[in-house]
Amino acid sequence: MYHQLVATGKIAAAGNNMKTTASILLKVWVKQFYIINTGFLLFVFFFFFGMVNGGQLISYHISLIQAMLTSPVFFYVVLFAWLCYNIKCMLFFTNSIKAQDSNYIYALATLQTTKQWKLYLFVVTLVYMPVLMYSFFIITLAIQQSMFGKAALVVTYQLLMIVTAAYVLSATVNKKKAISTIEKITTAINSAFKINFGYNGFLIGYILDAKKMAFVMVKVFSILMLSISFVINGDHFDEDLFGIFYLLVFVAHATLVFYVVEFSETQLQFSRNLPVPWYKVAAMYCFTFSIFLLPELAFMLVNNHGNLPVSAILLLYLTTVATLFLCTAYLYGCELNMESYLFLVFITFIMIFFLQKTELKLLTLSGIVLCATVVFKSYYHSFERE
Amino acid sequence: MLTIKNFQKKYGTSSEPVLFIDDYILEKGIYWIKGSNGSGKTSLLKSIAGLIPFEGNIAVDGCDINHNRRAYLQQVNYAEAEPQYPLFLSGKDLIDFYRSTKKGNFPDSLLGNLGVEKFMGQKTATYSSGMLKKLSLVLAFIGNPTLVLLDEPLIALDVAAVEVLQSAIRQYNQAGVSFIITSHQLFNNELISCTTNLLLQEKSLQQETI
Repeated sequence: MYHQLVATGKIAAAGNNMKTTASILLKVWVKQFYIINTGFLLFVFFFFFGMVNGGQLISYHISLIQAMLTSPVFFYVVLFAWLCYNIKCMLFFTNSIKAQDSNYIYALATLQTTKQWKLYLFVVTLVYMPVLMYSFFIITLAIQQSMFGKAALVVTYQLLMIVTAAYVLSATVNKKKAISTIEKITTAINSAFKINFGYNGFLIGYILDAKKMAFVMVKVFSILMLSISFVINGDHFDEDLFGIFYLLVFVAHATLVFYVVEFSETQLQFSRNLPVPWYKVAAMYCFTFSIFLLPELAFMLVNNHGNLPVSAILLLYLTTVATLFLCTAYLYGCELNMESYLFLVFITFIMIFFLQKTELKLLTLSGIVLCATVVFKSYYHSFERE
Repeated sequence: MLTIKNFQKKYGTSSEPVLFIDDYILEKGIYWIKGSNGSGKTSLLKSIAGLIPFEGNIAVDGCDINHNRRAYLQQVNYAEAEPQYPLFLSGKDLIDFYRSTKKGNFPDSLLGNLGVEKFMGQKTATYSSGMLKKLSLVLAFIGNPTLVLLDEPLIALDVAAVEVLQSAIRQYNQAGVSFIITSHQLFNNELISCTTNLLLQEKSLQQETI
């Protein structure tokens, strides 16, 4: 029976197990990683390639790489961003291995160590590919300009990133002691960040517990965008440029909206059996977003130096909270479909960009609140996750 | 007690309902819904619990889910077959949350007899499937429910906990609470003697005839 199944290709022969295992890991790790992070990667892609005119794209990137190679601060910022992406990849691997439905993955521990390492390096390289591709251009330009030291540093750094991620994978699968130390550190961080807001704090608790890395990346990106307007260009504050940067801050937060709604409709789905009216659920979302955006509000107020009236900053803060609530309503309307969601976020992005240029800011805020409330009320109870 | 009218449950874009119940009334009591895997038992319970949308109407003691959702959910409690809770919350967090929304009575004796108080301070991430099940059962008895829906309540429970649960069902029923239970495991004779059997087959609900 066994030989018949092997001959017909219904199961893999023992000699083919590396190929078969690699194809399974491609499905459960690589493909899943890109599916889960579609929104994040699309956003990064849009930021790097969608915002610049097609004709200026190459020169834009060359000057960006040039700046990175010549400015030590910029160079270390980029290394830090790569480290963040690598940690994101490692957290994805460890969480997916520890998921209840992934016990079969521990079968990898029965493979020889060298075979395991080949598989882990293969998987990590594929997941880390977006960074590697961009690094390739950086290394090429560095070599062309005889900056061999910088080129060697980037190569070494990326090799270190890949080997570290592969080691974490290996240690998690083989349940090595090193991981329990990582877990202890994670637990200590979790206890330090333990916030008890009751029902209204559930979504904040989830982000700080399970999506820490995404949250930190969004915050770093937001503060970086605001720094360009308020600190670097503080003396020549350009309201139009600030408008564009602020909308990017909003789009970055739209990814957090996706996470909280997904959490709400999976792990918090039981709460639909509780007598909590729709407007309290809506209030929970708005409260969460208002807390999420406090660092940006504080940053703008502290670094404003009279560039914008305080009332305008407060109105902007409220408009962002309302717009994120509108994004929440979209997710209920389009049944958590990432593609439709991103489309609606970009439409909103463009609409708000033009509305911000008018004097109808208060009317815009009221319109967003009304629209979000109507959509949310219409779809919340009829929503069902596929 | 429970009135179901023109009930239809469809999934996705399919025009074919997986469940269709034209008109059904259940009086107070304990009901054991039987049916093969995939017959729609969980879908029916989730619909009655307000967890998933459906077409038609469901009412408990005249209070219907479409027009007075909040009051309806105050009367209907539900325990899932395989409960899932946010991993960063403790059992106590969830009990507090249920108490603040469901209001009313708290099942102190069930909490003690199932041994939930021993582990309720820990995060649910550390719970075994049996501990999660016990927590979900305690949550299902919080408040002043008229109807409690228990989806496969005996799964993952130890022998002592099964006895505790069955006596709690009897005790609450004597106090006027109705139960709809799905289970592939048998109950003890005492509970079976006061249970009405229903059968879910061919997408519809009917009284089981022996």
